Amino acid sequence: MKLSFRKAVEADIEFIVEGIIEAEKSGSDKLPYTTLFDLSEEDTAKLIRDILDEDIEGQEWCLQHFLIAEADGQQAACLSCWVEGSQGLGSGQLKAQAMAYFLDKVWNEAADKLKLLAEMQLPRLKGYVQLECIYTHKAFRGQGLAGRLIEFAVSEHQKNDIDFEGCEIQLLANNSAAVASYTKCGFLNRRESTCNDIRILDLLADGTRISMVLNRQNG
Amino acid sequence: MDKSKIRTDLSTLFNKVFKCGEIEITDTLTAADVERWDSLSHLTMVSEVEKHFGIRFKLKELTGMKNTGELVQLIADKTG
Repeated sequence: MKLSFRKAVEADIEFIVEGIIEAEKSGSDKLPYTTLFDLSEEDTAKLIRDILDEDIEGQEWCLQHFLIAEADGQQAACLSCWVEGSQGLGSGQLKAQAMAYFLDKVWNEAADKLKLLAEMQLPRLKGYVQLECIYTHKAFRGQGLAGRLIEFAVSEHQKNDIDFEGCEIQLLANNSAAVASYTKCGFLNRRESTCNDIRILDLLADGTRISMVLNRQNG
Repeated sequence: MDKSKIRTDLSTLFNKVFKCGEIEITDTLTAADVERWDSLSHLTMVSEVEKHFGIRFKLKELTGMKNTGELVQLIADKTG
């Protein structure tokens, strides 16, 4: 299998939308935007496309932050990477701003559910490269592609960014396969945050969020 | 609107939204400097600012804003 890595282009948008949706499900069948905003998967895909179209740097749903792994010329895996806080506002504020803009009243109606989510929010490390929306198409799973793509993203930042401090990945605790894969890449558990309200499990696959970090000296 | 008046009003609004006590609105102030400035309180702040000054921000304006200096300038431009 011939592997190659490249920056995403507009023609990758549908693959990226699929990747974001699958990554958000965190290995379950629970899509947070369906449970939070009562959106169908189709409406969620439209919301993601709308935000990708805006090209808002500094948050995960930005086309130019995506990298694609191709296997024998086919889109096989993707991830989003950006430096946290490089655009002034944090990625959480930027993404929430964009979602609230497109969802409008639907966002406001979800205020109570959003408060539950906020309870388990972990501030991302400012200046660290954030890796998100890490996804491998099912036809290419079990071959370590996501790990290879992560290594590529890390090495590109190490090579090109003199201020490179390290990388951070945030994920839900239920996704043990992903935790094992990131540990294999050298990431260590930094901290976690739990929402103790049982209703969180109606919204997400797990009530605990983990932050895993790969510091420069570990890399 | 005069920028110093905008800063004074913002200080009151920030105190109300972020519950941060007296806060000086400098040009370089960012979300990272205010403890309770998270993604949800950020949206409340934007909504309160729009209501208070009778303006409406575009998405590009909001996501491109780097600090409160740029927020003050935007409000000044919109209020004339």
